[in-house]
Amino acid sequence: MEDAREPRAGRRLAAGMILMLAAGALLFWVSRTGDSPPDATEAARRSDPDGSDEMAAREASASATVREEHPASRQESGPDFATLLERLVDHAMDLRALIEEQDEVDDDAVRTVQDGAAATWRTLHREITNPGERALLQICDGEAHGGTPRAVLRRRICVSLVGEALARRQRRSDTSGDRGPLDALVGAVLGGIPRDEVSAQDLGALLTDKPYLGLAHQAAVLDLVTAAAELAFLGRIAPRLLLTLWHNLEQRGERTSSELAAVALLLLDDADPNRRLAALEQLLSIHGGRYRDVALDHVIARSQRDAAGQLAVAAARELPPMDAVAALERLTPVAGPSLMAAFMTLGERDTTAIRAAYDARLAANTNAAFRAELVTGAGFSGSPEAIGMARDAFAYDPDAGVRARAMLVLTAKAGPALGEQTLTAALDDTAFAASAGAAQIAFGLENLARSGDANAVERIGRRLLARSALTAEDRARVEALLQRTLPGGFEGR
Amino acid sequence: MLQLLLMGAAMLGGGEKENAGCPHTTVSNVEATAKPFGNQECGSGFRFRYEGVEFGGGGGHSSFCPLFVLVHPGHSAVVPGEGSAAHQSGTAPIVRISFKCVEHWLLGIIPVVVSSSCKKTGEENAGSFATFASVPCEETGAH
Repeated sequence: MEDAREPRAGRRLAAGMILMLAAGALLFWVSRTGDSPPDATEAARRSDPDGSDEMAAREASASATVREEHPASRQESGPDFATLLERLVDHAMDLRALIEEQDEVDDDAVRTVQDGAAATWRTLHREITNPGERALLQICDGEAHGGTPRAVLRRRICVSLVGEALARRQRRSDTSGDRGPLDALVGAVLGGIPRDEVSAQDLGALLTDKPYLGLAHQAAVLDLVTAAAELAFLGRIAPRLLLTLWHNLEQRGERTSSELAAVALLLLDDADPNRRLAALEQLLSIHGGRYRDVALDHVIARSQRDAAGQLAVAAARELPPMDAVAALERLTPVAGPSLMAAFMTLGERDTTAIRAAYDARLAANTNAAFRAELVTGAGFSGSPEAIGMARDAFAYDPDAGVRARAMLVLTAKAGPALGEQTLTAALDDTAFAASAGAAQIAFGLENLARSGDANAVERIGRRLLARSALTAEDRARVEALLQRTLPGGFEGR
Repeated sequence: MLQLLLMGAAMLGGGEKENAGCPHTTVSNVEATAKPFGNQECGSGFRFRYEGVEFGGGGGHSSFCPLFVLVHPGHSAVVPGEGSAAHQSGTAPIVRISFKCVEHWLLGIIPVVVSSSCKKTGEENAGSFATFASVPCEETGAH
């Protein structure tokens, strides 16, 4: 028992140490820049070479001139960061009240608040050295946390300031080739991620799918992935950060595709599930898909349902649509409940590829389970092409399971008229009704009810209740639906 | 995998009650589950109720707002059970619940959302899955 607890305690300690180190580094940095103006200016000039915010420079050139002339005067004469931050929160609260508490938004009042906010924003960037670090310190100290509207807005403003600082340093890094200031800030952001779920989501989003992570952050990102085994809220974020890091390293030529593939191959059998998932996703797309079959074979051969489901969603999100279709077809027999979500994710991206795949399988009359998922995946995008595909599937597909899925699409997404028409056809087709089951028609009726056509629901509902094959459970379901939907309730048959 | 094997055994038990041996399977109540997919990074997090159960993420003030959630309502699943046989008794819907992020920004140049909410925009039956019940093997004649 003791042995089992030790690694967890170690991970917790590691996460805590990351946080403490980051907070310490930030405190050191900000105290230098804040308490000692000449040194602060020097430090700011090192990490922030032109000594000013670009936007402030654009929008308040007069003030920028003053700053250039009197760099050491920053923060001595004007308000401090906390004061300006609270002033911004005041503006945000005022605007929120105008938007949420009034029946009609007063555009003039909104403009007045926004003008005030813009002025404060410019003042903050003019007067405060390194506002990004200071905002990050607020987040890491928990001062920007809490569930009150004011606390939420304070945290969002802080996150926005950090995001802006990251973007600015990236631009300067691109120009100068010096990643030092950017790497330092990114390292501090990474250090704040394990603090809690809110910090993880907000700070993780600042780095995910962005060019900021680099070679200097390999160890920190891998530590986060390891810590995710103990801190569940990191599970969704840490693998994305690792994939972002690998992508950046490949894009900048700091690691070759082959080197990254080798690392991913090694991690395939790692004890940590988050590392394994990141490795699988990496192999899915790296090197033009050369290693895709390795990833697919890995989860299929081991019948890893959860991993297969997650890989399916990743394939639907990341791969070119036709490649995604091919990957999903291979994963269909093993992927668990996430499979439907993968098809829906792909359906939101491209219904044309799904339609082509469906038509090919229908022509050969193969893989009905896969056809059913294709109809659902495309259909719930609600696009005209997808509705056309569902209509064809309901009319012509020989498999009752595929037709049942098409019926659910048409009752949910095609409008009440076509929805009723579909359910009428389903009831008229005794072979389909017997094969798919009355429950499927009841589910379609629930979809139709949500469209608000009570008369159509009553017509179909009464026909369904007249069927002798209805189970007691399905009968109760339909009666409850009629009771809810019909204006006067349902009085029975 | 075990569940698949058990489901297969259960179906066999249901279809050939007179001749097959007792599969020693029963059912266990599984609470409704809701799995979110996609993320719109909305200010207020997401929250909804289904069949009286509240689902959500991020304590009401995170930025996680899914594109959709797939809900498997509470049901009975097959588990090992001495002396009984599980069989398919019905069908339950897989429900898709969609969300949209509605946002108001502080100002164009200030990328801060002052008011945003992750709104539920739809609830649809998208598929179905089998539900199970069990009977004592004595009643089926299987041993």
